[in-house]
Amino acid sequence: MQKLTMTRRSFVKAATVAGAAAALSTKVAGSLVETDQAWALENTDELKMYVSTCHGCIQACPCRVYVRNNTVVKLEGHPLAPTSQGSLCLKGLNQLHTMYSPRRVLYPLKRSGERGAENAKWERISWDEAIELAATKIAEAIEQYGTYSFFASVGGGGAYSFMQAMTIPMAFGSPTVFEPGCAQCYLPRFSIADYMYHGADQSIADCAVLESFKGLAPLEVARGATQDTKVMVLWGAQPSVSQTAQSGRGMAELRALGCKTVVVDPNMSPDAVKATVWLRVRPATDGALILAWHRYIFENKLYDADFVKTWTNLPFVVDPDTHLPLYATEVFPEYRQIAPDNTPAYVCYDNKSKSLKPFEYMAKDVDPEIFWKGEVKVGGKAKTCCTAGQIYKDTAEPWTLEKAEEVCWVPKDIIEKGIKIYAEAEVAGIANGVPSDMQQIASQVPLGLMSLDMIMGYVNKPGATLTQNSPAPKERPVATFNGFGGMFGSIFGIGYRVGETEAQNKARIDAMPPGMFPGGKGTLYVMNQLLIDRLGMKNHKGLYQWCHSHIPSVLEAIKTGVPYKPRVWYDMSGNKLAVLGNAGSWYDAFDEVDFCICQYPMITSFQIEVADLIFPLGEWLEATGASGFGQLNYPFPSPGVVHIGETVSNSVPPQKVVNAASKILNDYLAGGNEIVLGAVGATKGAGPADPSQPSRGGAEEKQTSNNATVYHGSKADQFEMVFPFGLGVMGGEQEDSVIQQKHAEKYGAPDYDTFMGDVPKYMEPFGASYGLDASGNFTGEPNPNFGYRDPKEYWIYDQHLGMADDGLPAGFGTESRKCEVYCTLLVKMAANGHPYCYPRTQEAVDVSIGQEVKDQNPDYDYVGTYSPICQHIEPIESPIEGQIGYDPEYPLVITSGRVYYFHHGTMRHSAFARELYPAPDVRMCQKTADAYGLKHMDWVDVTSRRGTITGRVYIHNGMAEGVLWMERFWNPECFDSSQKKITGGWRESNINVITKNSAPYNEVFGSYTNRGFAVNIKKGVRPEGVWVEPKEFTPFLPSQPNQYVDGIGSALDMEQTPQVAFSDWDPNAVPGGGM
Amino acid sequence: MLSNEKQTVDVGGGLAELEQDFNANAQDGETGQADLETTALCFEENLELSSELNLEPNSELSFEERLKHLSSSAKRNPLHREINYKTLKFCAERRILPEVEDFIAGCPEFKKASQSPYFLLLFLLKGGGIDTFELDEAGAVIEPAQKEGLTEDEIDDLIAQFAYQTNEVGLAFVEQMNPKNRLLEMLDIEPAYYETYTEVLEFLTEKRSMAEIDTLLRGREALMANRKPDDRPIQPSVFVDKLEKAGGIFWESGWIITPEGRELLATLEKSK
Repeated sequence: MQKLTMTRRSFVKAATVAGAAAALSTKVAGSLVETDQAWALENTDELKMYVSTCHGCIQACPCRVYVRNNTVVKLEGHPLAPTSQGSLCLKGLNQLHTMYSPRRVLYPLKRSGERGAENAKWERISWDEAIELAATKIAEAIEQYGTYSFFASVGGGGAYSFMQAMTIPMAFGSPTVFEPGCAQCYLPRFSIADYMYHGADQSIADCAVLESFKGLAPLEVARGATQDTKVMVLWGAQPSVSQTAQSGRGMAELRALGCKTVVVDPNMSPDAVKATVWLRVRPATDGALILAWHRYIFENKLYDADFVKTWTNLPFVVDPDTHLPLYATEVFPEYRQIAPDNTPAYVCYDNKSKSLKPFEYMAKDVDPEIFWKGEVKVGGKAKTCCTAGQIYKDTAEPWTLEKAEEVCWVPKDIIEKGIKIYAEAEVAGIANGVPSDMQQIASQVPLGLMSLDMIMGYVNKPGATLTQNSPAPKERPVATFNGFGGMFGSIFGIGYRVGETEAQNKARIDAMPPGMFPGGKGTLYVMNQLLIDRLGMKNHKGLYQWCHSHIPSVLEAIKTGVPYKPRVWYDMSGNKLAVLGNAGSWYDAFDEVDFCICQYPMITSFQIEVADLIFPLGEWLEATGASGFGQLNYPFPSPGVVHIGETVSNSVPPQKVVNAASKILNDYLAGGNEIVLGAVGATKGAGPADPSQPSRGGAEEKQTSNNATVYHGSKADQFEMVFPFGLGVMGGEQEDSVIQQKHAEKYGAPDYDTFMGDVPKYMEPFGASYGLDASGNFTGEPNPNFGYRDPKEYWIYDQHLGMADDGLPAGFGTESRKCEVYCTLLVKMAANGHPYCYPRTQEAVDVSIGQEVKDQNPDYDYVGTYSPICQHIEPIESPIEGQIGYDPEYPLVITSGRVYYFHHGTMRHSAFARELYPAPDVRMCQKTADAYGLKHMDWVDVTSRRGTITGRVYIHNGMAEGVLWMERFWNPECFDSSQKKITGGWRESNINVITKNSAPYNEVFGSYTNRGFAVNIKKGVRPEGVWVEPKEFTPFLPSQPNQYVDGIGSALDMEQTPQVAFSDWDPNAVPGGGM
Repeated sequence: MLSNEKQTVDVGGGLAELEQDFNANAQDGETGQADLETTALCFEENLELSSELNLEPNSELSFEERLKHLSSSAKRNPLHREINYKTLKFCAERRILPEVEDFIAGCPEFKKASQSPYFLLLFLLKGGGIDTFELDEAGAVIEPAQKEGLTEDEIDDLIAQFAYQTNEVGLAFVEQMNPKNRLLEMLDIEPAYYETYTEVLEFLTEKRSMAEIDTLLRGREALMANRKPDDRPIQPSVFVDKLEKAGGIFWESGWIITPEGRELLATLEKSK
């Protein structure tokens, strides 16, 4: 019998092929199949195969999982996946190393020593003990300090529990939750798209950009899908690295089909290498470059004038005092509009009559001028007003190609070439990556890049980025706010419904059950107050969009106790010390945390330094539904295929903890005690302690699956409390068996066993019978259980032109019903919090907001509010001599990004990945290296105003002189039991030790500075404890015993842990391989 | 932000004067400290212990560095902070292990602790604030010379008990953590809330729930004052947190003032 070939070497080979080839060339599936067939064919009858979707990053590549003897022995890409087409990248293949890592936490662990990596000792406890301990600590804090003492966090990679983390604080009556991503990753781009046109945003990584990847797979082409993307701009996005097998592969296929690409990136990514033109922008100067694009497009009249006049608000005349477009009735008091009240008429300058005119939605009697400036009488007072288009044009005016070259370090002819490719295309689209989210310009950049697609009319068209996979609305589109895209619209505070009138919104509130709270509506009033009390919301109101706190404000509150002290922490994923900006400032705050509960599949720096209790979570291959959102129109399943130890799905612990803590707290209330609900003060109990009891009477109640209530009974002067508050923990179930049953039912199976027992029937998109006919055409019919969506039903365009029930084209879900290139919602939000927490009027942002921009640019007009359009803001730590914030001690600028091998903070424990990338590269060009006496692969200390870390010099002349690039990192080997000196492994090479989490923040979202800040470098030495040689990583191999055996003690039954005999230096077989 | 000058006006005298009064009161009460004799372990024993406990020998560190190390270690978990302080204070006199464990278990703060008494003691030892001694049947300290020539079993037989005594570093920490110092520092830093702090202390001369404290304070103008442009009004729980952290109050089925808190109130009353 042939030996298996999944050795270390073949893994590396296969992984490299999958990663690099998927990114840079096409049709790589053959390479993978060749490697895989060597053993798969020979052992097929001994293997069980399941279909799943990889969860190695935030995309979801369909794959096949092979299991033998209850152990996953092989992963491969699914050949029918419409974008990845059989590819699986390094991160995907390495999931075996994650699943069977010696760093797994397989049982509930309680710290049995003092905090700190150097003290780490763990005691295995039962699940009942663990839940009781967590519940007790939470309940104690709430009894003794009130509900605001609890807080949660999530993010950092792996075992995502976003919904649970956002809702568990509310279940305890607390507003505090944060995620290192959020304002620093995706929230700004997601929200700005919602504000500007209530549609999909420009993120590839987050699967908002789908249109570009349709019609790539031959199967889909055969079913009628076409590929229409001819030009694509990747602005700060590197799908080849971040999402290699899916959109990286997709981009490679696109390029092979002739799609031109413009890449804007300080780093020479594989996508930059393959770009038609690459604009190597200086980090954090994207705002200037975007304005230069606008100027060029305006000046050369390259924009789509018809679309701009009809479907954007750029022709609206803006009041210079309020920064808001003038309503027609403000200038023409007698004017009565024809359109429904939910679609207001504004004012434009009419080219036909050469005068100001009311500008009705879809008006045919005017020809609105986009660029106009003149005198307007508003309320009897004459003002010099501009159209929104003129405001944009004036803002862009200084940004000639020459000026952009000077500031952005991109040659003007390269800039012009990029603009022309984009603007002269029949249709194109911009994909906007994460970098701007990690800078002060987090709102300004998406404002500008959305604007570009909108003024070009690249909206809802085949081949455009800004498309929606939903049918045309039959009613006037509305956008509901508060929470994830309105998901929590009327649950966690009330969001104003943009697109409805004030009267309609008021009527909606009035129709709600009568609460007895001052000025509001019972529980909903309290929910709004919780949101308003959330840390950092006064100035950064965009955070309302995702129910998250402002991270630096949380840190400050933990450290100082003001305005309230979050003290019992429930963290739901990842290595916070690797992914939070200025990690040292967080480490210093741990001393103020009473108790830290973690749930994660791994021990990371964060858990080993501070966790008091750890709940073991299943990895993707164990957790059903962990990644069940499929790819494009293919909703591939995500079953848990194996299970080790006592791990559970991520929703299980929070559900159980909330139930257990609620019982304690409700018993406390039932004993006649009161609890302080931070939003209102002392509260009495509302009734029986047992939440399973029926209605407590009073106001209307809505029972949920968790027996929580939406509306609690209440008296006129006393809010009555029952835990869990609100809807309890949302997302998932408290038993894996229920999760599995629901997943099975989703795919048409009566139960999970049946589901798992018939893969072709329930998991394959085209069932068991598909193939190629004699002509090479795909044959097969969609599996009715699978949920496959036909291309004609999935790829839909021109939704805004569809007729709504009011007889008008549907338009967009904004106040004007148009694309609001001039984002009026931001101006209103800054003034009073609109559209969040309606009907509460919130404090305006502080008058200092925008002042630092004004200090740079005297013409800046948005102090004390949010800018509604793109702006350039020179980074506060500028490398440019003479700029505010320049410091000769830190003359270089550094930025960061991902490498192939890892996603967020995951997988640094993977031996094979670490062999390929043992330590973070500090990329720089030869000139920079020479200036500091550095050679390729030298160790180098990188120092910012916050600290010093060490990486290895990687010289390539793709980097601009004076610019560095580095991937975030952490070193789990530093707390390996073999080390002489144990550390948490987060100080050595972690760029987040030197990132900046202090002001100035992005005005809307409070984003801090993870990229584009100033540093200095000097030759360093390899940090003590850091491994780089392949053999050093032996302890991370799945064949090694769990190193925490010593720490945990004899209570841990390691016999239950699979000893996966992964081949190492002497190539052996994959376990159970039938050698 | 108000200055210290404002604070001295509020309390009717200088802080230094206030502190003198406080010290005078303290000497009459529980917070007085005994004159202690400390016996350090010999270096070899220290090494042996370090090996067992994964301790870093700290003999090369300066006194200030050792104090900093202890302070960092003893304050690492807020749930253990007061217990650590009290244990070090309790062990100013040499105590045998059962005594120390009983003392720790008897602290009201221990109900919230996440570790056993022995572990808490162990980490004070690791933090360098306390020394350990081997005692014979008679309760005398076993000297290294007594072990010479003995087998391991014979040494085990010789040791009847362990004792613990706070060393000079630990005593310095005890002084640093003395609630009188912490309370005065708190009032010094936050003179704007002086009246509120004292009112809460007064209120907690009887045991109260957090809800009662909240009801006392909620709606006060003082809470509405924004401390910084981006801050929300502060929650009443802030005063509980600060007073607890300063050693002025503690939780035992309700919030109640500590003896040191009472002394502060008495001092403040006198100074009026």
